Amino acid sequence: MPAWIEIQDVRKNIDDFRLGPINLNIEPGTITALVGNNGSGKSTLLKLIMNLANLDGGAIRVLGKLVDGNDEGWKRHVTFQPQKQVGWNAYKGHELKELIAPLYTKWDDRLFGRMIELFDIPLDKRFGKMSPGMQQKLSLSLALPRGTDILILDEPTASLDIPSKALFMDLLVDWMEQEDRAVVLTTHQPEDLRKLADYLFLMRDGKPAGLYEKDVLATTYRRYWISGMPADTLPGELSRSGNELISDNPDATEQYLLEHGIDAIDNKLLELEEIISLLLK
Amino acid sequence: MLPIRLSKDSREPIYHQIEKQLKALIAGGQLTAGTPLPSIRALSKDLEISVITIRRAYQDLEAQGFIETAHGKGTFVKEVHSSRKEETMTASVQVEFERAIRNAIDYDYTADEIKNVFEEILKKLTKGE
Amino acid sequence: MNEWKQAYRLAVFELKASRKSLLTIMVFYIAMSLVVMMSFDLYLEERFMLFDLLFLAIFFLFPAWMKSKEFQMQKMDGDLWTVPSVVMLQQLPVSRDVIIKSRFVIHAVCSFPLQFILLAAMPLMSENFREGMSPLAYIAFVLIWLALSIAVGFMMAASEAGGNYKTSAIVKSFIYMLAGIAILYALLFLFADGGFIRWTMVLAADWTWLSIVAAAVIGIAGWNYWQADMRKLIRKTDYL
Repeated sequence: MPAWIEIQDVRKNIDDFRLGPINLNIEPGTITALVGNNGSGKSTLLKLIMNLANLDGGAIRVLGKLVDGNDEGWKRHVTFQPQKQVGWNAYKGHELKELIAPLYTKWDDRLFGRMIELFDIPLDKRFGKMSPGMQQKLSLSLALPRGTDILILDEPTASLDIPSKALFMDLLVDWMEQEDRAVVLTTHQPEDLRKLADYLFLMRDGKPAGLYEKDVLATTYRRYWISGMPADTLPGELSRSGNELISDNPDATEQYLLEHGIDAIDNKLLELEEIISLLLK
Repeated sequence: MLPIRLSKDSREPIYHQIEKQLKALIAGGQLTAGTPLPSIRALSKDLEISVITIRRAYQDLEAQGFIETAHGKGTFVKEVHSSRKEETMTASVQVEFERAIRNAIDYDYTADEIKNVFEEILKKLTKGE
Repeated sequence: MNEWKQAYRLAVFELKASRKSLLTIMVFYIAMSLVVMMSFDLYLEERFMLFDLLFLAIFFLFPAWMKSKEFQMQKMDGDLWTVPSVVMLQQLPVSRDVIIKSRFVIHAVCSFPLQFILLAAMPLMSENFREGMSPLAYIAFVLIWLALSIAVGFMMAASEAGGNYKTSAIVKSFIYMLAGIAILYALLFLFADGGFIRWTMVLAADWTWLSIVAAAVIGIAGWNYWQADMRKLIRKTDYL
């Protein structure tokens, strides 16, 4: 089965910023998180998927269709929630719903009603008058019920309070159950990554820094506390300080320690945040 | 929610831990035949493990006849033959003992010392009954 | 046809969301225009030539100023200038052609009522105008101005696609545009006696049928041209 989103060799220059070349495929049934420092090009990449800007090279296909082709029908199957909604300020919540809902054949009005109730959103208030958190809740309530195959969320939890964040995760997990669906999201919240992501696509200064299966990434890096650290560089060694050593190949490292009779006092997997910081350095 | 506790620091692969604990729950009778299991995505969120790993564990359990997936309905615990349960239980208990004894040997315990520890813990745990 | 229906639906949403301010501004502009119209007769007697410019400004600029702030062209992130709705709708399953048509519907609602009132006020408020124009000539005159409204005024609608501009470039092009208009107008003034309105009156009265045909052609051409132009602008612009 071809990927639902195919990003091939995509490049985009914006003033001095160079994005790409980026290659990434999004498969149905998966949640992929784009992770990177501020200004690493995540939002730009998402906007390029939505054909909001012209590519300087490469191609993007959504459900097999070139996004910058003449057929714009693919947009019916994609929900895009930008970091900041543009053009929503003058509308009240219920007006936005009336505007958006009829555009999607699978619009789920029950889910919408449920989310409005759970998040306690005042629909008769103008979007521009809502707090950032409320705006995000309304955006999400207008995103999930569209029931599209693909859901693209740019920092969906950035302004949510803790209970709302938990609620959103449950709703998203529910949403993923119904059919074969794919989610692409950007986030700076480790919680989102741990609980939601299957794949992490790392970006640094517009360049890709690897696509990882989350569990593989999470079990690859180990920190060892070693008494009598040898002067030689150990196999798998990534960095060391004092009696601490970080390895990205625990098997090789432990084999070496065993062979040389070196004692590791303790060892522990690195936290996901730590691994990401390491990879984005 | 399933009472599964993963030891993420262990060198044992995560999918293997999930399989083992689910088997123990089924063999031990905590999960009876017909009990619905959480969906792959829901378990993935609860355990903070990707669906890729959870799917692998479920597939293995299905191949071994512990669970079955009804399309569109979800995944359920299968009727497991009692001799099979026994087998699983024995295997699981054996593994735990083996680990504990290995640990003791690492600390240079003698066979008698290990037996003493075993007796002591057994006495402590069965006293309440 | 279906595209126009969808465009109309989207346009109504926007107009409804801003109806209060839109109506207020519209009424205010119409009242102001009518005050200006009171000197139309003086203009036709060639005693108040500034009226010509005032009328042109009202006819072409008021419609563009009528939209409330949220729906007007503005600076977005980076070097992007556009109308927020254009970005919003591109994130939804709305084709670019429908987006363009919805901008045109909105511009039509903002310009045509005011412009019709202006054109209707002419014979009502000016003895000189009534005397100089037969009913058919008046129809030709209205058509000429309608064609101008489309061929010139709808440039505003097309420009709402926006673009990636540096602020200095915008200021510069604005100055050039003003200078261009001034030169054009000055040239016209040299060749056409009595100002621009007077000139179109002469056209309508002396070449009535030619005017009607030309107005129809220019109107239709302008309508299509600006839509194509807007399509090109959207394609070119990076909405980042």
